[in-house]
Amino acid sequence: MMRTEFHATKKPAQLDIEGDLSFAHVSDLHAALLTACDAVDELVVSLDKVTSIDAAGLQLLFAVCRYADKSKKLVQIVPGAASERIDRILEFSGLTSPNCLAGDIAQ
Amino acid sequence: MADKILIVDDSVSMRQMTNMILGGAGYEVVQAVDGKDGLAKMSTDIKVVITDYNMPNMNGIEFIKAVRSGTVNKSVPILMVTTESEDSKKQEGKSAGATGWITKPFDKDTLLQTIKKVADPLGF
Amino acid sequence: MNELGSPLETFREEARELLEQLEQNLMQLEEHPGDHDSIDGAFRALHTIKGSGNMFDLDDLVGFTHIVEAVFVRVRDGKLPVSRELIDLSLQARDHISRLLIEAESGSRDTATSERSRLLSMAFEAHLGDEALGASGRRSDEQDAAAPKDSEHQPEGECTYRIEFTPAADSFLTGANPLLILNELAELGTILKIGYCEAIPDLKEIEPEHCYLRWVILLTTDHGENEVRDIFIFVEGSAEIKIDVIDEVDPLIGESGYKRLGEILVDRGEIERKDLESAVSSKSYIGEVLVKKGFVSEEQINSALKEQNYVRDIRENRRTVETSTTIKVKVEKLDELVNLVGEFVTMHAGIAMVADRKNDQDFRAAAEQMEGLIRQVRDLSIELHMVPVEILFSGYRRLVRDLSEDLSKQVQLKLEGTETELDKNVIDSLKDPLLHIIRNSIDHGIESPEVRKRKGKPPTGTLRLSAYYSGASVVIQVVDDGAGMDVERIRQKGIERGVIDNSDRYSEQDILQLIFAPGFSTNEEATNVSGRGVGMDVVRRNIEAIGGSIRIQTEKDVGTTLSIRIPLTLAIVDGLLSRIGDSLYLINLSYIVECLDLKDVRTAGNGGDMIDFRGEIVPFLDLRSYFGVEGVAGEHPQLVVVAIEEKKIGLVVDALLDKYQSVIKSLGKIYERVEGISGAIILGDGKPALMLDVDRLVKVTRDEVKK
Repeated sequence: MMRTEFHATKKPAQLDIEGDLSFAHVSDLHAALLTACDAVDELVVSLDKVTSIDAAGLQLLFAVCRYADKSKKLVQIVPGAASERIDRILEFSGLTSPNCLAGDIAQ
Repeated sequence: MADKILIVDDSVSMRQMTNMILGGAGYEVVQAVDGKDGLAKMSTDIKVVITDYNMPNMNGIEFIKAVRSGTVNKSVPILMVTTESEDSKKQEGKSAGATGWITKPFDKDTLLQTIKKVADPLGF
Repeated sequence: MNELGSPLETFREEARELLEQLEQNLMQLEEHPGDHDSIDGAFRALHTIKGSGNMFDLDDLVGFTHIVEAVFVRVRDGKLPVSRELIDLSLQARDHISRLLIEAESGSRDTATSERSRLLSMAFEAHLGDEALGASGRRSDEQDAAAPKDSEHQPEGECTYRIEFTPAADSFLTGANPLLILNELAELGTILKIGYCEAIPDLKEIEPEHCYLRWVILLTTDHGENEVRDIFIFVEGSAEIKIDVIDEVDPLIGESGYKRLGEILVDRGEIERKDLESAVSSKSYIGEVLVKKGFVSEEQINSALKEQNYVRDIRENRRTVETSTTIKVKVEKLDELVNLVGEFVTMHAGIAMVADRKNDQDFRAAAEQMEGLIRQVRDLSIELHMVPVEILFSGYRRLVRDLSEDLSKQVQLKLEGTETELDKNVIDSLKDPLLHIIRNSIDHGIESPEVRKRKGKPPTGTLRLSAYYSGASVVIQVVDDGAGMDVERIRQKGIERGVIDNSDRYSEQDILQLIFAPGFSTNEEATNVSGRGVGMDVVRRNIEAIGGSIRIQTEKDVGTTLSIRIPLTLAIVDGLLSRIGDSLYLINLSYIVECLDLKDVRTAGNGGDMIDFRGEIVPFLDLRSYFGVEGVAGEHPQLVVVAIEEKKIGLVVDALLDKYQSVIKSLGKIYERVEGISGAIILGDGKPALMLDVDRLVKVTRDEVKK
């Protein structure tokens, strides 16, 4: 299960990802991320409700940060309650954290 | 809920044998008699698929291709059972999208270990 | 579907049907020799009989069917026409397979049948043309077990591999999770995983289902290269895999510092040697220069640096192990030393007594000085006899791993307080009890990953072994985060068995302790791992035999903690000497809470069989009547309050004498069956004293109160 919810009117705009950040949903998620990134200049991607993550999901987060670097848009990924999960998969796979991953939710 | 495994095999005794091994190891087994039946029984909660190569109606290769190009659980690990130990069958299976293979005859441990090798137990 | 019989019976039934189908196909072919469906059908029938027969080890049947099948492969491929003769032969083969099936069923073996197998096989082989008959389909692993590849690296001892692993772009789609491979590699030894994410494009360009990740993995292991390669078996051909040995123990060359950064990069093919050389000439830090010149990425530099550090660390460790200054001493010698020191202690107690009696100042001072020295020698010799529990704990790693694999569970073993030291003998006696407890925890405690997920727990269960000092004892805990014990179910079982009655006077701990009763198990479905409660009674007996006690804490779905409290050493004990009539008793100091004058204590409870100890109602035991000591009680009876795991009782003795340190001697036959006595000592003046088994006395007294 994976669901996204885009709060375009929030300041900054926020995309909530809920459920499995995994291969089965990366295509849907990719589309949702593109739409959100195109719509606003400043975006917070919240992983607070993410319940699982795999290598394909992780990869997509890196792609978000790459995009943020290139486009000069302000994109921040906020792990929230999923931070321990993210830390574990990063440590397990020997990857360094994507550079737009934040510690706390920006208000 | 136990992890579900789909067995696609036209041989009743093979299905029964595999069922016994997997059931004993705590898996829930869904049985299909050929590729067509396998596709019909494919669902998102299936953790691993074990398919025979030689079957009437739709053989293992066609079945794997159908799963991979379908929409339901298309990246599920699929193990192909072959009698032939020749590489050609393994390669045919691999290029169709099989995750791995298991060579018949196999014993209980080999089957369970091979499943463990492809099933996702990491849970991040 | 016939699902009632055994798989073998099902196979026979199935084979009979397939032979029926084969016959139909053959008859059809006789009329229409080119009918593809019939050819396919005949082939498939033979193929299935062979394949399934193989699973049941029906060698004769499989061997024969294989040859017939091989001929039909040729027919199917259009290399052999269907002739009248072939149909005849195939029908005979069909009948013969049927006979082999019957023989397999009855287990008999007819020489005539074997002869017929041979003749028919030859007839079929004649149709195979020049094609060599492939493997008979017998267990393929026997064929695979050919001589190892020439290139295989078979190290002596440990070596470090550098594995460069780039999964295929479509590896996610084919269900091949690269992280699983990392996981398998980690099980082979010490590992450093360096992931590369630089190939991941940005959000606009990414194909989200493609895999862009790659890894450089450093693995230090004593497994051979083939075993390492085997892990990649399913991705070989699609993924890029490069395995190099980068570090091994070479007795001829020895080892100097590890390669320079640049060499590592050249080794990995990430930079050309000439580029490296051009960068080396400049003065600044080589890594920086290489990145600045655009030869390599920062990620590549960091990865190479990690490799450098990793290999250095591995070598450092190796050296430490080799040069640590230890000598081996036979355990028996140590035992003897501890024993002698014990005698020494006893003798000194005698001297001190004499010094006291003579009232000679100098003699007394000398005795006191000696006591200090003896204490040091004693402590040292006990220390020599101590080993860290790590030795005990790490022995269970394999068990946990194998067991969780067998039970399809995921269990992470955590060790804590491994530096805590215990008497070697205690460690030895703990080995089996702990084994049982760990088995039980994994088997009955920790749930399967599915169940855990449903409960909202991480799929991997945690089993923690910890050890810590607590006064003169060491507490060893086995903690799992599993399902916990069902206290109510244990209670019901206890009532069913008549061990307890249906009242609420039993504490949760009382009920939990029932699992240590012989033959007590609440798990209806015994597994072949922990069986039907066999062992838990033995566990408690073994632990009690070394003066320990065991306590359970459990919470449903949170987990279970078993705490084993054991004395630091078995050899020497600090005790309080007390007297009842003419007999002397030693009470282990570590159990004593307080000593009081009995007359200062208020009795409580019905019939005054309890005392009020600081507001707590505690049962007490009059040792005089318990041990049947004759005579009348002393004028100032004393009350010694002892506690085992917070369970208190009072012991009434005639008088308290002195603190005393002693070596415990094993009991002679006379005392073997006295409940409440665990050993005997000889005092300095030659008098014997008995060691109270406080654990037992607490239990007996509290059980008595319940009745």
